[in-house]
Amino acid sequence: MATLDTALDPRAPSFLDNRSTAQAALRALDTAHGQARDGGGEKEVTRHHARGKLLPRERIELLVDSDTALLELAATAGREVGEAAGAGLVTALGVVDGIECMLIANDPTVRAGGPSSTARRKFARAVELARRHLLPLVLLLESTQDEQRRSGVPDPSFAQLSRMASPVLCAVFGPLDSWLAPLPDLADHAITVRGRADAARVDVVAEDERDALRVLRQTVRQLVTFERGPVPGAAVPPRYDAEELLAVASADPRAVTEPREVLARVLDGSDLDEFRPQRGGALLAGFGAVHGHRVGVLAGTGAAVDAEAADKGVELARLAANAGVPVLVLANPVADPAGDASAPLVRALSQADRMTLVLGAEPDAWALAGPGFRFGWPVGDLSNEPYDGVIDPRDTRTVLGICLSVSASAARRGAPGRAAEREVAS
Amino acid sequence: MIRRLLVANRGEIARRIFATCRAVGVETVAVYSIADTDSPYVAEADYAVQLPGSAPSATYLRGDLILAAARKTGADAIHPGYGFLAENADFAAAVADAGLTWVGPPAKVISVMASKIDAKLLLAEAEVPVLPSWTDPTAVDEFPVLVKAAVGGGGRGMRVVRDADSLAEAVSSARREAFGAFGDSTVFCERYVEQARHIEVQVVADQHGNTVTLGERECSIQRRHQKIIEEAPSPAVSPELRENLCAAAVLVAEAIGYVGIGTVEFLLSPDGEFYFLEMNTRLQVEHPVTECVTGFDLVRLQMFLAEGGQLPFQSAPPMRGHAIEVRLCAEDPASNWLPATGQVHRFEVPEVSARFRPMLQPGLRVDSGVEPGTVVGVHYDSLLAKLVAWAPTRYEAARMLAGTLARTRIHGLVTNRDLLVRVLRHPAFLTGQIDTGLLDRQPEVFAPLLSSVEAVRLSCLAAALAAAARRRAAAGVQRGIPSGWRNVPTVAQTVVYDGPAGPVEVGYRLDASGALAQWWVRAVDPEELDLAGLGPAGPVDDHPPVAVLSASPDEVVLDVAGIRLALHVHEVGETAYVDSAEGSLALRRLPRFPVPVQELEEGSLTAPLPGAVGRVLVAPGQRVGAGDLLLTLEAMKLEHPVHAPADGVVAAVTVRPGVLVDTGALLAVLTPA
Repeated sequence: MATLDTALDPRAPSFLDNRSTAQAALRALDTAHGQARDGGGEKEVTRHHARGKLLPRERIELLVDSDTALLELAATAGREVGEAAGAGLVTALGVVDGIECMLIANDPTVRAGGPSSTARRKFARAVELARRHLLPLVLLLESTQDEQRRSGVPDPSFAQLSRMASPVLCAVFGPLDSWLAPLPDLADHAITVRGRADAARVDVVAEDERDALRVLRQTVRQLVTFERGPVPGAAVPPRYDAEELLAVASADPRAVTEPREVLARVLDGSDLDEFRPQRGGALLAGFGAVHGHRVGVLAGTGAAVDAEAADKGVELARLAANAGVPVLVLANPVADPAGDASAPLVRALSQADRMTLVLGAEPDAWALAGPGFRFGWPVGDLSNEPYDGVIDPRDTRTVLGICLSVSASAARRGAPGRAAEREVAS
Repeated sequence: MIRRLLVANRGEIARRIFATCRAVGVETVAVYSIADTDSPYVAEADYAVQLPGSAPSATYLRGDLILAAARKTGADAIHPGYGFLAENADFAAAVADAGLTWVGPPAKVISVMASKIDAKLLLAEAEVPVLPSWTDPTAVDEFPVLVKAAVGGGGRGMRVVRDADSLAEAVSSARREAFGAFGDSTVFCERYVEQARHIEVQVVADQHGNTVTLGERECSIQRRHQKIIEEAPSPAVSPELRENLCAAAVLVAEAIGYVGIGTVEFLLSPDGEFYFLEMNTRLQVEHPVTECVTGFDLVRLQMFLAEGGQLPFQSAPPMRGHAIEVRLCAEDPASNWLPATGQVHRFEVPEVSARFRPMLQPGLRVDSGVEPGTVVGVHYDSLLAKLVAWAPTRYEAARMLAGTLARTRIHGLVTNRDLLVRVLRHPAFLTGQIDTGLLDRQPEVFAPLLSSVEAVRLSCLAAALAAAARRRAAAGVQRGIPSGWRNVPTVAQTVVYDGPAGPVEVGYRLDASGALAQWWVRAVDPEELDLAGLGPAGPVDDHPPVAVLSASPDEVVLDVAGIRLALHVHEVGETAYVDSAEGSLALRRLPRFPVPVQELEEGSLTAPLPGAVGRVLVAPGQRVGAGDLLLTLEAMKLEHPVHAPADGVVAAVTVRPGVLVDTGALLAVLTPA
């Protein structure tokens, strides 16, 4: 085991500069999260509560196991294009009766006059991630009161639902608009609350919202494939304080963030066994672990990926896939793309079970290959939001730990290896 | 010489006698009812014989079955313990007739004393002071009087009656209770002396004419005429009074030709006069305090005397130091002493010097009938254990006993522990100003030890944090991820507990480093329980600043305004037991998703405790007045009346005599008039 060292100097001007920039970005992120949480505004929320109904996040909080983590995806998406923050839809990874699930709940207090393109994109992304990771998909549905059911073209992303190997569970808390109306029929199990809605497909009529959530929990337990294999226990934390990641994050979104400093504050015990350290220096490669889950690491260093670096990356991806280990990509901006030879690496990564952490704006193209989880640090403005959301740099280890756990659960549920190939013929 | 001894009893006294048997090389035989199959004393006996049934009348009161068990196991002696057949002269005679050694006084002595009425007449003639009494209730011409069972002890059947109107019901109820407990329904009335002290003298007599006293015990702290705290010597007894009491006790013993160990009970009135109450011809529950201050093993002495031994001393030895015993019972003092049933999940007494045997030096002794796992049912009395402190002075003994009791962890049952601690620490007790009415005059002793709002809140918080730690440690996935982590902060984690003062919601939020970022404990309106778990309804204030120093499933250590406080948490099923220096608390977790329950009809009367339905006095259609006795429940040898809460008409009676009911079971429905 090789332990990463740190060169972070608290007296360097960049330390304070980076940190104050990151703190300002986090305040903006907090504000955006607040807007998403507020939904359709105080008046709408009060009206909704007065009907004896719960908000989507309240439903989710009751649904998930006590004291488990909840990772919202693309929580502020839509804000950058002038929509409501979060686009009136909550998508999240949560644990229900010990099983990691993809949760989708729409917010009936957000009046958008029908689903926005961001809402459709968020929905499709959540379904895609659930399908890839064999996650049970739990839909908590209710449309805005004044949006009546209209005929419309079915959402193309719904077609994926019938191709899922994991169960799709649906609870209907109120009337559904034309977008959501087809979902109960597509689900494996549909629950409605008595007197609230008249979906075509109903398996259980619950007495009230709490009862519906209780039934959902019990259905997850009944329908999910039995998992085999051990679960990692407590791991050795990194040797360096996650708080310092705010000073590690480069204040200039187009400048490189030193990947070793990041990994020293993310990997278990700050341990990274470097792969081919003496060659292909444009790419940092190695093996480590996060919360006890082994992971292969590929990190951009700011230099263009030349042939030697690309070959190193391809080889690491191959070894990781053979070992059933996901790949973590740290994406940095590249100052000068001249001499880029990353095409073989792009091909290799598009097949791999991988997740990406985007450290700066305009990351190198190879790093965005493939459909795995993709999170970013709040650098620059939030409009550069990657697919699955902006995270507090200090939460990096936690977020990666959740994603790696989801990946490992998928492996225990099905054949280990590439999640992309785990599709059910339909 | 006794070789193999059968104990015709159960619980702590059986274990106590077995302990001495083991010490002196005597083999042991237990008899046990079906309900006692898993009791510790059964496992500790060398041989054990099951009696067919659970009710005392089918088991421990069946002398014929016990003799058969003795024959079957080859026992050559029988020790009756206390209660059950201990003062049954017929049984003592039958044991002797069967050629077995009876560890107790001769049957003829028992029969004299067994009837308290005859005993009082006899001793009045011997010029022992006695209280006026009436065998015919209609002849009573002064009040208050005490209605007592003519046989037996333990306060069963006893009732104070303050006017002629309630005498008839008290007498008939006492008769039934006495019959149920002792098989004899004779009762009598005796003058009731207010603020009296209960003093008793331990007597030892051999078959060779020697009668010696071992000093007195005071047993004035009583509930329902049953002793709960006993001590030796009595703070009210001067050397001169002791001499007079002991002389009177010897007079009593010699007047009836007593042999064995026995206890002469006196009532000491506030004016300093004492009166003979009765003589107990058996080992007393509270014998350990005498063992402490005299150094004798009274059970060993009993066996020695039963074998015909001659006392090797002619006068009482001086008493050494002071000993206090408490009876830890499964009962709720705050709910009119309702007996509690259930399983003992934990019973840990700290700093125990001895169990079931006399101590060689001052310390703490425990005689316990239960162990973790023991189920306490409805069939027998509620005594769980006796704790005895022996110290150089009375003050030290009281402090030691209160401290040990407060630190004792008792999980699974409601007990009188907090009351015992509060009495032991009460100024009236510490100054020796005690009498049989103390509990009625000092309502503050009924408050739980854990009584400050802040201490209750911290205990609730600890229960919630320990449960969270337990869930995290057992998590099937994401075990190392911070507890309750959110990237978009929403509401805090909440849990709702049913506590001693109704439902409370505990809210807590931990930050990514595991530090407590927010917490609250608030009472929840039972009508709005479905809204619990959605965050605090209003602003939460006056919670002390608390830092979590550590939180594991078993222990939560908090820093409360600079003071380190460790709270121990023990979860059993839905219930969390929290023990700390502040006191103890049991919290039942309410389900996050309650299954709707059927509401009870208005006017429904439910069982206040588990037990068997005794008498049913009303029928549907019958008109009743407020306070009328409708039916009775029998539990732990006591009869519990169920009265009409208001005037009305009986709409339904849903039980019949003999049916076993649980707490909350519907008994009858009244339509208000």
